[in-house]
Amino acid sequence: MDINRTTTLGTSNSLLNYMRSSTSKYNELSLQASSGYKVTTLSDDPSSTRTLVSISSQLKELNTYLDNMTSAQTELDTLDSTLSSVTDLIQKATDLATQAANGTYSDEDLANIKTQVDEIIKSVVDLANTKYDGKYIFSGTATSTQAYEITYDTDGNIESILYNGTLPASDYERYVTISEGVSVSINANGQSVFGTYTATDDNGTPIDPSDDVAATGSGLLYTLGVLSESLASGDQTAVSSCLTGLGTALDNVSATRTKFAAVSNKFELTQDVINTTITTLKTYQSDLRDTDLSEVMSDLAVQQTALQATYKVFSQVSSLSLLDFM
Amino acid sequence: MSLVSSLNIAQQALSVNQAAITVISNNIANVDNENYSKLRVELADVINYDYLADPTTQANSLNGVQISQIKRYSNAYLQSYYWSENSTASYYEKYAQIASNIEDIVNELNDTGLSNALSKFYDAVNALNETPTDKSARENFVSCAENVCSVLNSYYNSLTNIKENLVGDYQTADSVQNSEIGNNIKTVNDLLDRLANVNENLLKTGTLGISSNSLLDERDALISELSSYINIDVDLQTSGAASVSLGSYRLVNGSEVVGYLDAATGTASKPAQINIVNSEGTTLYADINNSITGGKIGSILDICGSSTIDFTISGVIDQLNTIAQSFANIMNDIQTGDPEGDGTTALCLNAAGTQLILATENIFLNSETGLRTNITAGNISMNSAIIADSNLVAAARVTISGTTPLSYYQDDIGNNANSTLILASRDTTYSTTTYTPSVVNLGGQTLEGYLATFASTVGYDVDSINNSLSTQATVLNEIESQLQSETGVNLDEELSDLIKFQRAYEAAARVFSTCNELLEELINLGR
Repeated sequence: MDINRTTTLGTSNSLLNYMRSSTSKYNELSLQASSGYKVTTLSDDPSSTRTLVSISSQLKELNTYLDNMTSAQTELDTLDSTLSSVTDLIQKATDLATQAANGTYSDEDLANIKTQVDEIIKSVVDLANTKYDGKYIFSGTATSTQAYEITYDTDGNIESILYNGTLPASDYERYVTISEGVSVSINANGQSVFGTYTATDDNGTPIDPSDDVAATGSGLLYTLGVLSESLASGDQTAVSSCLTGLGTALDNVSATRTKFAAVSNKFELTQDVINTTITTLKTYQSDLRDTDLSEVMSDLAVQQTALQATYKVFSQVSSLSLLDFM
Repeated sequence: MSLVSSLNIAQQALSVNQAAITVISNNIANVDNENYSKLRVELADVINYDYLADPTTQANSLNGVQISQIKRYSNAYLQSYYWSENSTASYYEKYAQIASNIEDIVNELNDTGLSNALSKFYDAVNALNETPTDKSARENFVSCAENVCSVLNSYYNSLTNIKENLVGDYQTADSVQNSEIGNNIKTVNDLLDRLANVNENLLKTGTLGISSNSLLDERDALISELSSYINIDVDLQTSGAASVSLGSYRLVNGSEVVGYLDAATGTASKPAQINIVNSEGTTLYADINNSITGGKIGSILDICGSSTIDFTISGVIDQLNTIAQSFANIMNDIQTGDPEGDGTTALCLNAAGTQLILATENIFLNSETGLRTNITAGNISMNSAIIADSNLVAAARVTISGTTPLSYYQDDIGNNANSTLILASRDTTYSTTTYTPSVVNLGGQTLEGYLATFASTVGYDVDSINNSLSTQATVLNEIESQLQSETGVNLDEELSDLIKFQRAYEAAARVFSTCNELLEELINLGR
């Protein structure tokens, strides 16, 4: 028997098969062209599936980091402008102390200066209690606790300025994650920046300096408190010795500002790196997943021609019959 | 005498050609019937003369034409090749169909998958990290964590549903018998009965005659259908009856079905046990699963089984379980344990949100036991205590000691060291040695990395099944067209045969009328 015998059913079956595969290729291409994606199921291109799934979660992660830095930068800006105001106030206090140490001022003048210094102290405490997004930024992690409490005695003199936030020795840092595995602290400890102050206890009247309990505290607030006390008592030597403390406090605030300026810089650098990474990943993702339209459109045209040819052949072959010649 | 003999020969030719035209008309009628094998009339002259006689005597003893046989076009080798390849093709066809359903369920390239749910979860952790005291950030964390659970649950349930539709619940006989595999087995048994019936008729009629040809066509069609369900070996006998075996087990022997299939309850790793039973339902051979390697039934058994090589539903579920258990362990350890081993303790807020307290509630639990052990994709759920009070989510982490007791930290509600740890876990790679107290082994990958690998493994598996299918389909198409070219009907061939027999009929008719005229002449001569 002749192996090349073609049968009517066989011919139409094989033509039908070709037509089916042409149609399915055509459908696949038009799907790619209309959806814009060449990979829509896991098995479309298994070698890039892993990368595509990874890239999509990586992109989301990187965008989170960018958002984090934008929001953290606003908090850092608040911190910096607060500390800048503090710097101005220290400068003002230094000017007043320098004037008062001159020795040419009367007691009345000194009392006047003390009132101004007290105002400065109050402003510093207000600044130390700055809130950002509902959080006291200098309270460490005790974000709902007001950082400083100021108390006055019956004469209207400052009695104490105490810090209520997380102590410097404790885990006071609040962290922001800015890139894979990197988180940075974005808050300064209030006590480290401003210090504390408890006034000299003069242990009742009449005033007997020998049983006084000396003023305690640290940092800027201590210096300002002592300055206020010295001005009240007219002790110009003590006033002049406060100048050193004010200088140290100024340096301390500047150092803190520098530290967080460095964090801001780090943000900027990290943002640049992340933006570059995002661009690279998106390009890669698009290479793997997106349809190359010009290629698909030309393939589509080729496939369309092939399909039309198949239709034509099918109709011609089907109409071909010996019957027509009988 | 010889004129009458010529008349007889012509009359014989007329009836033979008429029969040939009948066969052609039968062929043409069946031109679109896939199962039909072309028939052809084979002619032979009737030899009835004496070779030693003189030529005139020889001529006078010629006896015309007869139908020697009606030949059925068939090719036993191709036919049985077709049956065995059809079995394999049906196997891959079913396998690919189920695999593509599974692929659709776990399509991580969609925006609705697990990787998207995990991204949203980490976003929520990030928001919590930014403002640990914000109630809405905490509620958001809870709903995103619940979302991860429900995606895992729905993956698990959809996969389990597919499996139950295919093989039912392996513990209940009714359920197994009413599943797809049970119904397929009923069809197989029905086909076996019909084949035995055809065999019986073939044994009665023998191979001769048109009626046996249509029986042979029916026999081939039944075996073809049977081969799409299971792998079979066919033993064709001279009578045309076909004996059918599955592996080494004989199912049809001549006119008798000696073994029916039966689907019985199985085990977790073997969802249905296939037995061979006799017509009374008595088990002849138990557990012949390993012999079924082809057809739809073979692929259902394989994809629902527990092979570590093949792509199976339970393999996919196992990987999802690893993801669920690992995710739950990582989060629970950060929530209540000390995964870094640095002596720190996780703290959450009190109900009022004003102070830190010890975190004791796990985030994820096994919904069946209420414990944090044996969590799977099917049972992972949020701890209801956390859902009721989102302040119980630990965002803070501190070192508690004699000099710094819990009360020392109680106001530090903005501490976010613990949520920072959760964020860091996103980029941590896990293998057996890196994590305590729970063992988390993601083969040295991150959780999302493991998920991506899982997705690509499914992709590779489905792709390879699709490739096998298309290869097998090509093979089958090739055999089908070869078989068709051997056994099918070509209209042009039939039409030319038709003309041939028509002309022969016309010629025979002319001979008949010529003889008739001669006879008439002879009769007139005698008048």
